[in-house]
Amino acid sequence: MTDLMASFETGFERPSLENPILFSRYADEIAMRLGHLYPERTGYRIKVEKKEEEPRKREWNVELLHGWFTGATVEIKPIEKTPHRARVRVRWHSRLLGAMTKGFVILTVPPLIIIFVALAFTTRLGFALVLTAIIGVLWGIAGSIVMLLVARIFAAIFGNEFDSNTRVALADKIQQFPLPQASAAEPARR
Amino acid sequence: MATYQQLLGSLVDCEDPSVPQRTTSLAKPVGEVRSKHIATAGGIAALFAVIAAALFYWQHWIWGGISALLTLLMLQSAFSSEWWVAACPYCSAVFEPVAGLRPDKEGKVVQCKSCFEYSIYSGGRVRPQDPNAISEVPSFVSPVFENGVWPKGCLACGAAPTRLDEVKARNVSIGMLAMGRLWVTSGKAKGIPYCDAHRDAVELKIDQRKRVTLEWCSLKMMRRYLAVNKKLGRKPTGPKWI
Repeated sequence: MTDLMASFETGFERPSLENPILFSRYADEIAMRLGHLYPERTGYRIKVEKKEEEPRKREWNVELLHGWFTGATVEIKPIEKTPHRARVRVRWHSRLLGAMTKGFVILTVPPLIIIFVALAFTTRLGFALVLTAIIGVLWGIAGSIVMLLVARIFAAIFGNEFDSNTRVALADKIQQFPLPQASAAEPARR
Repeated sequence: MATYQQLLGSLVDCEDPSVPQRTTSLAKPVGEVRSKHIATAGGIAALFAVIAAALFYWQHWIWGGISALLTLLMLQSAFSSEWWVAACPYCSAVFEPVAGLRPDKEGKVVQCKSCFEYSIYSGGRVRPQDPNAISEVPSFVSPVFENGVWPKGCLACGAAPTRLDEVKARNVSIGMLAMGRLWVTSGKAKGIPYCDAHRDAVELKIDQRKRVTLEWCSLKMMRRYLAVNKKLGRKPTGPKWI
């Protein structure tokens, strides 16, 4: 419910090849303005992450972190059926959660490869792949829940600045930031 | 293996193909179109009926019931009066009843299976889709032509090309996977022209039936690709299938 409240829809009037680059600039703009609201010298860290390699999986994230245990991510994700529009969500995040996720992925891959190889020797390759995928997904879901719980517990102990109310307020503030507009003279970019 | 210069030299100059002013109206399917629709839906209904009968025989009541329900739905679909058809404004081929054209579906976009052109239902008529339509993600589908050539122009914006890219596609057969076999189909398209500002405006797709298609961001460039390959007498790979 909070996630719904800490989100809004924005975007452009019509499809254009320029829109993805404008969403990318929008992410930079959000990062810049959040930098004024949450200055680095007071311990905040802002980072923009752009996933632009695959056109169908484009996503721009602005991470706003305070210490190890609290923070938020502003996620700009084009809506699948109308990619010239995007949903902007402000989700809870923390540096600890990010580090645990990275570590979990790194530590999970080798055992999954071993499981796949072991299964490939005992059953058909297709079954081995399906079973490994199922194990991987279940392991991933369980791991995500545990990591989120741990990160939330640490946030509760050490102070969670970005609680649901703050995230809703942040989403309202971001909604007021103007969306970059395409200039007529500028050539279209990807 | 073709060199970069050979690939660059194989690009073909092409004008934008013309867009007809013609519009067509919706109509109820009659004659051959209706018979074909009934035969197709009836055939699928018969298949589900056989499956349902077999499942009931072996006392799988739930799965048998689901199959029986699907049989009834297909029969209802076969003889339903809800279907509408229209002629393609480009080539006059008939859009199949399952294309989803209906008087209340304003803005519905359909693609002709014969000429691969896109049309839109608006203002009570089926008319050619705006040829300059753009999509941020590749969504306009075209066939892949045997020994096909690319139009000379960036496939996103039509500007003079400055580099040639390639796209790859891979598909794992789910049917084979269910039987424990890993069956991977892969494909590659080379020499795709782009300007400095664009990339990833075309994707190669392989579906579960091993049909290969191209998906485009720019309808204008897709139409140029179709026009230039038709003009050179190239044939789409496989049957007309989109």
